[in-house]
Amino acid sequence: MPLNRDFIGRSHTASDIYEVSREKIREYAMAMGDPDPAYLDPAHPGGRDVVAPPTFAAMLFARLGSWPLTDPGLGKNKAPFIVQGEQRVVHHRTIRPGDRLTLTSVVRDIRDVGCHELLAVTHEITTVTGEPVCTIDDVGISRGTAELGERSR
Amino acid sequence: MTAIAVPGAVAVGTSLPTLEYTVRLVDLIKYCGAASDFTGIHWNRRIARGVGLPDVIAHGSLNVARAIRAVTDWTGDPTSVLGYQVRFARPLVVPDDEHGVTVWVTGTVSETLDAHRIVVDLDVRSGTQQILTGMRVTVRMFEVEG
Repeated sequence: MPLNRDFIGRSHTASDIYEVSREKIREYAMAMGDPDPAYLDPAHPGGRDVVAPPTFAAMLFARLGSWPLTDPGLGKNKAPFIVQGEQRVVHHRTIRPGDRLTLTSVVRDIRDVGCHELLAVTHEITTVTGEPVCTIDDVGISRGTAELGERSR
Repeated sequence: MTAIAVPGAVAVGTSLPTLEYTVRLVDLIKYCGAASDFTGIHWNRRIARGVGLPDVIAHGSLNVARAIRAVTDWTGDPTSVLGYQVRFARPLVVPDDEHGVTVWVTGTVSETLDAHRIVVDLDVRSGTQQILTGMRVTVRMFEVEG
């Protein structure tokens, strides 16, 4: 089933606030296999407190609800499924412990690419007071859900 | 904080030290927990095979997280990464054995954006196959202190 194109232009703000902690930064850094003191040691030379790794921001999407993928109205199939195609991340500032973050996502585009559909979503991460923290442009590929793909199955 | 160079001292064409790492099944399970992403294809062979994959595959964001270390190890400061862009070209299939799968990352300074920012292109491959393509990391330059 093709994705619901009424979603183009829709936006959604996560209902939760994400509060960054030293322990979460440590856990994430260890899970990515990087014991850099900048992630683990608040007293590391040359820094003030630990900092989040560059890919930490992109992880908030799953934690904060994964909209629009979790919205039943989008029409995402269980399988075939939506896989990551491209990502562009721009950090406006470093993420540090104590940051209280929120995520607003906008569906920029849904269109056919051969037998697949492309789903472009932009995520803005800001502090609760509105300070820009990170912009993430995601392009997902909904496998086999375009009309061309539906017909060939 | 490790200073890498005065602006301009890192010339286009400069190579970064090659980064080599191994990904095992336990690494995917750790990342599932840390990233709150329990999509079945990253930890469950039955689910992965059910959608036509040979075995479980690494999260795209784990591939990016591990590859980008080539840059942060080089600059000595993770806050030097101002952004990145990447295409998730091929899945990294992770076998359930003690060896795991090995990934090589090579990097080259491809562009000077201005006096404070450069672009590093990363080539991320497992065997002969690029798992990530078009990976460009925007990096802030640091003045040498003292």
